[in-house]
Amino acid sequence: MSVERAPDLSQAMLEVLEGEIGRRGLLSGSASGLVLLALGSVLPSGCRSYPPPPVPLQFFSAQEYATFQAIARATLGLEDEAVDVAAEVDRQVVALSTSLQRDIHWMLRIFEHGTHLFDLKGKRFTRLAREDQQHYLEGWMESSLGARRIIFRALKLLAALGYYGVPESWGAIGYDGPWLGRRQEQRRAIFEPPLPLDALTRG
Amino acid sequence: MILDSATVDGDVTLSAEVCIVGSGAGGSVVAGELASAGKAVVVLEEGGYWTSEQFTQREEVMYPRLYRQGGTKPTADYTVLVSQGRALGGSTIPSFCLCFRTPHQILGYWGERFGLGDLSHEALFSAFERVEQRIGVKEMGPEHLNENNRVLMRGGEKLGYRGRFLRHNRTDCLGCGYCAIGCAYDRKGDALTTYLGAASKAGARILPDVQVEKVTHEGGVVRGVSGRFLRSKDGGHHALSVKAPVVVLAAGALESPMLWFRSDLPDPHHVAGKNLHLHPYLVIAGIFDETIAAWQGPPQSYGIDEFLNLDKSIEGGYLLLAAAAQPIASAALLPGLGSDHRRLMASYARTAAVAFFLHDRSSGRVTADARGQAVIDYHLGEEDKHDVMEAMRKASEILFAAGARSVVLPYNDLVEIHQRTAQTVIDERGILANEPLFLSFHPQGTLRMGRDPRVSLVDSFGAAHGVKGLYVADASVFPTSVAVPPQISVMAFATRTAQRILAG
Repeated sequence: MSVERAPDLSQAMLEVLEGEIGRRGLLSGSASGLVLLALGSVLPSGCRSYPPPPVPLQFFSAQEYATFQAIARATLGLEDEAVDVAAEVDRQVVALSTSLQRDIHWMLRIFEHGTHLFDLKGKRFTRLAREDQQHYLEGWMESSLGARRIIFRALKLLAALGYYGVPESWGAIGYDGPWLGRRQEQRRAIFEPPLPLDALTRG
Repeated sequence: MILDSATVDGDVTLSAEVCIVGSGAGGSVVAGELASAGKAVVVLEEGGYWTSEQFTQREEVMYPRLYRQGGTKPTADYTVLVSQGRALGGSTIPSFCLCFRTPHQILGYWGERFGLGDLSHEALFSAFERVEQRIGVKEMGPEHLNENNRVLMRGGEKLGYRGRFLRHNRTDCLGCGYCAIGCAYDRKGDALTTYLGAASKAGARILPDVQVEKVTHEGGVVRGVSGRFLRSKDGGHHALSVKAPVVVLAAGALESPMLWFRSDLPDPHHVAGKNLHLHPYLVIAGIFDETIAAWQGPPQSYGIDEFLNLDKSIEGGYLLLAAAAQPIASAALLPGLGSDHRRLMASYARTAAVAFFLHDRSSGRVTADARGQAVIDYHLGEEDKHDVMEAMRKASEILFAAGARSVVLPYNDLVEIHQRTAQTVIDERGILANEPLFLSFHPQGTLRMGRDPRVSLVDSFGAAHGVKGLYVADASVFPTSVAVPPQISVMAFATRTAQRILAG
């Protein structure tokens, strides 16, 4: 298991990391984002003590799956196991751009292990009691650091995507779902088919 | 004709009389007008070609297809999430169809303050009429009120607030309510089914999936644009060059200035990117005993304009509207965590929402980071913060007057008030750096027009002051916030731009 410790950041380290940080998209627009990106690079990256996921994964590692599942449940107040939110998100994020996928990996890593830094806890997020998880999430939600709020919002959005994007969750909120597939209505416009390149370059 | 970018297998060079960058409200109008008049037009769009057959009414599928960055781009300090359409047809595809003419008071102010006296309402009248006829603008009526809009109307009327049915570009709307993720039934007069369709029929070459990197120019004269394909037969990002004596920037108020910067276009007085207005948008939710089903029906058919009193003050004020979203967006935006959030979502079908667009005095700027990506700096000034707090109070009053059991304020944590007097919490909390989180659908003002080249980049027709053949035809040109949703303003100004190009 990787060592869980509060990171020791120096200016020199930030400068060394700057080249890589500069290529990242989601958070690099602010000073706090740069600091968090640097933190993410020095926090522990793996741990053998995560349970094996119950489904084959396309995107998440076992620890990311467990981390995201815990985030989703704590954020959305989920108690039941009817929807495997992490598995749903795992299925969907493979369609995202490479840079966004990289951001998600990184966000989960810093969120899981940021407990040492932001909450002075001796345990990573997934090992906290539910009440402490809520408290830790509130810290991200209300942080004065814009980048922490970005990460919180991004994770909340992914959780919402994974849970409320699934029809099984709709009954409990009274949402009747899309019309398509249950109401037959005619489309009006006739769209021209796209043409091959040579049709545009000809003449 | 519209290109199937999946057939591109090498670098491409095209020639045209006019090259238009962006295919939304501004670019589509210029393309349609010029192509119909016989000009050889090329339209370049960064987004894809999606038609109603591919509009699934599923948020998780449609947001990434129709919006830049899958939905929103945050300001640098993460206080506003800015939405921009990115598809053939631009933001008109996922729009709520709101059609407001540029207020005559705003035009008058622009005339006095920025030397734009030729932009009177009378001068623009024919452009407004032409656009509205083309995209099918009609006034909504009682038959278009869903329960969410009835709440707004009922609450506003009880309090004596001036309101009215709004004008929309929708025809024979079925009321499915999925406007924000594309009309699956083609009842919206969006740019794709109107102006772009006409442009294509008239011979315009329309290329989706193209990222324009630079406007090429030499000695103060435009030569064309260069860019690359984002999609191709072999997966490569092949180069595209378009040679054209006229280039029209219509990529929106965040991306058009980025192109200006990347192209080293002249800006001796450092005007480009400044004067960014975001028309901030905030939502206040009310929980009722009865079913509201806010996601069903035309989303914003009624509005309260009592507090956008431009005769009294040309600056400030806000427009109150109903607001609605499908479950994913609602869950992402509703405040709170854990059981609080779960309880709010359990009330989803009984939730009505009132939103407001702030006619912002505050302005920010957009700059380019090291990778050429837009960085948005924007902060609300004190007068705007005052308006925001007042708008929050008015919105909650309306919800209570309409019968809401409680009102949920748009803070990070759950702040639910059960009586009107509890609104003091709005004053107590104020507007902080980290809350509330605003949305923006109407960025504007970053390449502003005016007579004086020291404080503006284009003239009243969108023609660049310092570069022959370069025009801007999007919301970048507005010298101030236009006060109302800008679709019709952008289209009317673009009509004038097209007329100027045709006049030579």
